[in-house]
Amino acid sequence: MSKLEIMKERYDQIAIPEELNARINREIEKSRERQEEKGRVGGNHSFKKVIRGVGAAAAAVCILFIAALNVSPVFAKEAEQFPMIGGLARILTFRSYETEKDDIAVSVEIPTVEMIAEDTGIAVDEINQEILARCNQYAAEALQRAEEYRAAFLETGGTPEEWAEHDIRITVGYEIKQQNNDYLSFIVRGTENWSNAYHESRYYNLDLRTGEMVTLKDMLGDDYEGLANESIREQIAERQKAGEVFFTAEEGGFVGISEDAKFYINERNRPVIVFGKYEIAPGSSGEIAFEIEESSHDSVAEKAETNDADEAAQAPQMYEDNFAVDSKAAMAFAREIQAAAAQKDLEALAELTAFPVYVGLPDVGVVETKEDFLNLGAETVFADELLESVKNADMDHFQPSMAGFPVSDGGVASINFGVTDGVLAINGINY
Amino acid sequence: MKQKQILYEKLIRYILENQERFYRVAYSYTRHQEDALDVVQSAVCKALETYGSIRNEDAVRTWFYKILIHECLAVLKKRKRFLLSDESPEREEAYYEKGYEQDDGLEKELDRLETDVQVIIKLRYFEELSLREISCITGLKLNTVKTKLYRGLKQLKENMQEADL
Repeated sequence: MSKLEIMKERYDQIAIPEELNARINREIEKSRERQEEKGRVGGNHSFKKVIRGVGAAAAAVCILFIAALNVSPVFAKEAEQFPMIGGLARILTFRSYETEKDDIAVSVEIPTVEMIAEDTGIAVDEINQEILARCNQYAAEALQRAEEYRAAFLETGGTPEEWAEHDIRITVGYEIKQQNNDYLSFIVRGTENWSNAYHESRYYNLDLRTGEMVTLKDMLGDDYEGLANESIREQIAERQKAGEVFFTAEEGGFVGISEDAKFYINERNRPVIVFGKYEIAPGSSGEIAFEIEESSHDSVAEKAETNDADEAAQAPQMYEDNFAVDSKAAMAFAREIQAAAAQKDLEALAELTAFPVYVGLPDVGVVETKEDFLNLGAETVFADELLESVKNADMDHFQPSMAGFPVSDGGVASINFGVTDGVLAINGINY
Repeated sequence: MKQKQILYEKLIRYILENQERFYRVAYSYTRHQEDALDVVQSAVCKALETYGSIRNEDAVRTWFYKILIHECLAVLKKRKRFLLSDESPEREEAYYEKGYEQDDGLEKELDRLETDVQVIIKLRYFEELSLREISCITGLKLNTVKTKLYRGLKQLKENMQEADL
């Protein structure tokens, strides 16, 4: 579990004092009184009652809402990285142990690659043995270094109590970056909390189609070096603009990737090149990662996005037309639609919609406003056929057309979206 | 008039439905029950008083968060002024209420980041708002939000690794 997830979990567990509801109601009550005083003009006496009724309904809604929150989309994405049933291969903890001796805590978690599918002919024994050997070696060496440190500390007048306060820890662990039917990508790290000098990280990227370790050349083609360097330079320039500090070339900064550049494969199957601490920027920046985009076309699209965003402060990604939308953004938007449909959340769907919108229900047609749209009712809009189609939509092959992008399994029922006033929005629902 | 009433109704409904979220946001800044309650209450009060200024009723959520975050930061600022004149960020830990969780090192690291970076991380990962919404709430450009988020996460990772030194 990542630290952010832990924090999010704790965040969600922040206890709600009973008083909260009472205090908010008091505030609402006060406000209502003020409203009534002012609002005699409106002369609407049932107003207050209406609102009370809404309040009670809201309390019921609230419970559902919290239940939904726990299945949060942000972490659902991360959860995808955990072992999948039915995948080709997965990463498991092979061995995990914790020891403590002389106030030196050692915590080791050694990963291993397990092939789930049997007939792939991919042998992972060699990799696993290498990982195991490296992890054990690191732990042993780190322990020795810690023991030497301790001996020196005690010899120079330190007391065992003071030593204990150092809270020396050695950690060996791993981090899964991508785990799907194409790749297994993970990082094995060894760290000592008293020194940065001996930190070690190894990047493993296994192509499950070939059983080979993936190289940057495999992923980016023959000109991988040029592509990667160009992309990294652009990204550095951009981050510098935002105030990040990088070493200049004279200071030992980025001059081009080396042959054995470290990289992992992220959740979008893109290579991400990583520079260690101090490698191209001050230590305070830590490790720095650069995702390398697919082709120059993508980086052009990204540039366009940057410029537009600069021009229109609050309006994000402004697109000229459907063809300017990159597949990444289209997919993300389609996912939002899927999420809204999965929960039959009409409000959420309306948020994604540009009005007027075409709704292909009998007697409906063009819906002018959000209000009218919501009045159609979730049951009507989210017809079973539509839900099925949206749920099973082929997200990996979005092809833009003048009409936009259809979210559908190929059938007639679909939710279409496209560029409206420069941003992505739903522009039609077919049944 | 009618339009306004509908909006007012909507706002109250939104507040009632989301009060717990507001409280969590407030608590994540103040780490103090009473202060968090005060923050939420005054945010609600301000929202109900100024709802007429919502230009676009679809933006209720971002509009309310803007008020809420503003209230949170105002409390922190007041505390700082009250307790010390020196602005060294490490000293802020002194205001920590014990018992947020047994091990609140992670949260401390988060609180040590620049305020706007903190705001962005919390809204993104805890409240799960979109970057676009965060851009509206903070008034920062979308790209700035992205960069700050990215940088904040980096720094957080970094600080956590070194937290035990």
